[in-house]
Amino acid sequence: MASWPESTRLIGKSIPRLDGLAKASGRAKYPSDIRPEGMLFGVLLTSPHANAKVKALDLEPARAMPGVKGVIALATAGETNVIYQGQEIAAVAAETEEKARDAARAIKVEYEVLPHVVTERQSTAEGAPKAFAAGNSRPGRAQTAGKPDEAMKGADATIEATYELPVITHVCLEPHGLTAEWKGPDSITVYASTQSVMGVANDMVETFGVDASKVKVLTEVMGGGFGSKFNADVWGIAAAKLAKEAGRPVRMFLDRAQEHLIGGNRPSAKATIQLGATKDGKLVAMTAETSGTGGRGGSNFPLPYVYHVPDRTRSHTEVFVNCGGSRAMRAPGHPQGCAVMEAAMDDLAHKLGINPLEFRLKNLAETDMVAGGINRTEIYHEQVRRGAELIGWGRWKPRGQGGDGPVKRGLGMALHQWGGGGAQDKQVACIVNPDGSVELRSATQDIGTGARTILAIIAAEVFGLEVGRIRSNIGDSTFPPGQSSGGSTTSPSMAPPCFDAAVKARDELFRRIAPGLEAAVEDLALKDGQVLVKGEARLTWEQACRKLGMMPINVVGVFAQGLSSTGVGGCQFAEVTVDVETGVVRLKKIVAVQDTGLILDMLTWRSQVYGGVIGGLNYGLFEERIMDEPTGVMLNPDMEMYKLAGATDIPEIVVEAHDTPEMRARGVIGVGEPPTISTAAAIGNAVANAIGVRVPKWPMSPMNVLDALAAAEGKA
Amino acid sequence: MAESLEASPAIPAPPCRRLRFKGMYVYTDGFHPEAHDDYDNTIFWCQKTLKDIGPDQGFVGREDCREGSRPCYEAD
Repeated sequence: MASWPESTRLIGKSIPRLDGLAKASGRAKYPSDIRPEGMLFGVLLTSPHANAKVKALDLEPARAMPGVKGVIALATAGETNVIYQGQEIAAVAAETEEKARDAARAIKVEYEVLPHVVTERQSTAEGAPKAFAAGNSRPGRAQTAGKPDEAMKGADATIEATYELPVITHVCLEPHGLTAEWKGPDSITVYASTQSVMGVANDMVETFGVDASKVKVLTEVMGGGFGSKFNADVWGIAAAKLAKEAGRPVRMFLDRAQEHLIGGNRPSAKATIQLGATKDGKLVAMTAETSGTGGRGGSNFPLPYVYHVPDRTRSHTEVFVNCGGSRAMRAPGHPQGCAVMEAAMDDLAHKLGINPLEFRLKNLAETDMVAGGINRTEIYHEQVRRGAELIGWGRWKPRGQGGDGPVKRGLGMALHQWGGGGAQDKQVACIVNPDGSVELRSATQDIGTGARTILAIIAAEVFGLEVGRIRSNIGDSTFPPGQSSGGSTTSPSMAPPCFDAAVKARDELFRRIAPGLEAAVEDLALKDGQVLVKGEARLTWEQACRKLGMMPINVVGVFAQGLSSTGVGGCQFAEVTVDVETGVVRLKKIVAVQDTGLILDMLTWRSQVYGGVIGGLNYGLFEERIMDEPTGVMLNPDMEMYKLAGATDIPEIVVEAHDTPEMRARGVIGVGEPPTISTAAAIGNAVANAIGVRVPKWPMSPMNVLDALAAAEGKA
Repeated sequence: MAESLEASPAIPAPPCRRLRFKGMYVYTDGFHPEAHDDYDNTIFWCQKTLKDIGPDQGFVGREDCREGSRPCYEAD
């Protein structure tokens, strides 16, 4: 079983990301910034209708436009049924973006518009048009344990409530897309904004039948994916086809409206939950009817989430709508499951007259074992205790005691969990050159998490060098197989082979220089840019590397057990004020406590948690896709009416690493997803605590808050 | 949450070679710590169309894209 060094110089410290200055200064070239010589601009023509047949499609007017170099159909007249607004109809490549847009507008499409369903309500309404051959809904996976009906009868207190979260979109700052450049009839280079350079390469191989050895996908840096950028997408393949047709590179990125419509979304969730407990606060039963829509994909989510309910039943219905398809979004399913369960827990604690913090701890499973022999329940207890200190939970008061004036103050909390882990089949190459330069290579990518930096930290730790001396060369599909970035798996998948590669390279260096130093290999060590023999500095790093002569060291590291793990927990607390006259919620403070095993770079780790919390407060307070039922179109496909937090909406965020020797011994676990899960749940509970009324619908927007207050007064 | 739960039985027929989901990209070694035994919310797409509908415009999914289920099915 491998292990990380017990004493570290760099690992676990706060180290700025290697590409931070380039990103902050604008020097970093994102895929959408790449402009190969002779590049054409691609534009996608999409359907304005949510449900329609394409009766006729005439591309000739576009082909006749000045500056147009290629036009392809992405739908077939007489065959294609458009099933959502934004579905791809045709693509154009032209000398300028404006000419491409003009040409796309010139394409003539004749539709037979059909009845649509664009909301859950519309899709499930009695007499709703059957929008899909398979029907408008489908039962999801059901679960039953024990005898919930019988157990519920024995409960001393029960609540029954319906909680809802809307569809939200990914809103990647860099839109989906790529630039395709053919290097000959059967060789292509692609600059893609992707979470998987290997995945995009695979799509090029599968679509064009070219040899994998002649496909190169490059992602030096990229502007966010959150689970929505794993393949080449229709428009990426269209760019490659147009590039082939025109004999010139083609850039094809979605515009902001298309990004909202077809760049992915997180499914909605609706849960009608009955939850019962004994008078001393022990959960006994749960029944839940849930539903959600992800366009046509899965919308299920975990229940009863982190809590132990011995007798329970749950049924789920997948609802289908004429909207763009959902894609994985940061911790798929967990934010929804967390929000509805934590709301139900808070509501039941209120009914029982029990402090919701104590109620939560009382209802965790006695043992919740995760990898490494860790009982997550014990970790939760420590995390909740620490989080309560940091938020000042001693100030907590029961609902309805948030203050005398119109602005009420409240506290809320929520727990979350995540699996994470990683794949055990990835590789990292480590090259030590005679000039002393060190390069790491792998076909993974840095999606903004700091993956490039943590690989360099590991190698620098092993070589006794500064982090900036290591060239962490990733984002190239032709390098040794690397991890696709999803599921919080990049670091736990890539750190072990990186460590192995660096150790192998160091050992090979020692083997080759030891004879010249008249020393035994086991007497050599690296520290502060020096080669030590029995603790005495004998050569600089550069002098040692020069002894490699004309032959660099080039080794490949592989996974080793013991260096990474899986299964984490965390909790978050929120303090809010709510103006009951306007419904405006203001965040005052959020505390995020998180464990993720061995932290490789405390700075990028904290950055991940901050980002997760900010993502969570966005869907806690602002985000909502609004569909217009009569017309079937999205009403807010922009960044003005699709609300997101501005700088003044971000409160004090206290990030607390549950960083203990026990956690470090577990090895590396990813932190991309866990810290975004419970933020919205904690905010929802803080709002209920402040105003004394449950707001059952996220986001905690003024309208939803005022609706809840009105309903409580019988005015809804 | 280690108790056994009643869940839909798996359909054994092999999936279409064009069926894609995120786990295929991430858990390439076959070990999936988040197997979603009790709440499958996997989002699928077709590699041929790169959409959640297949070449025949039917839904794409674990059960939808099994051998013998539709004319666009492709074996490995």
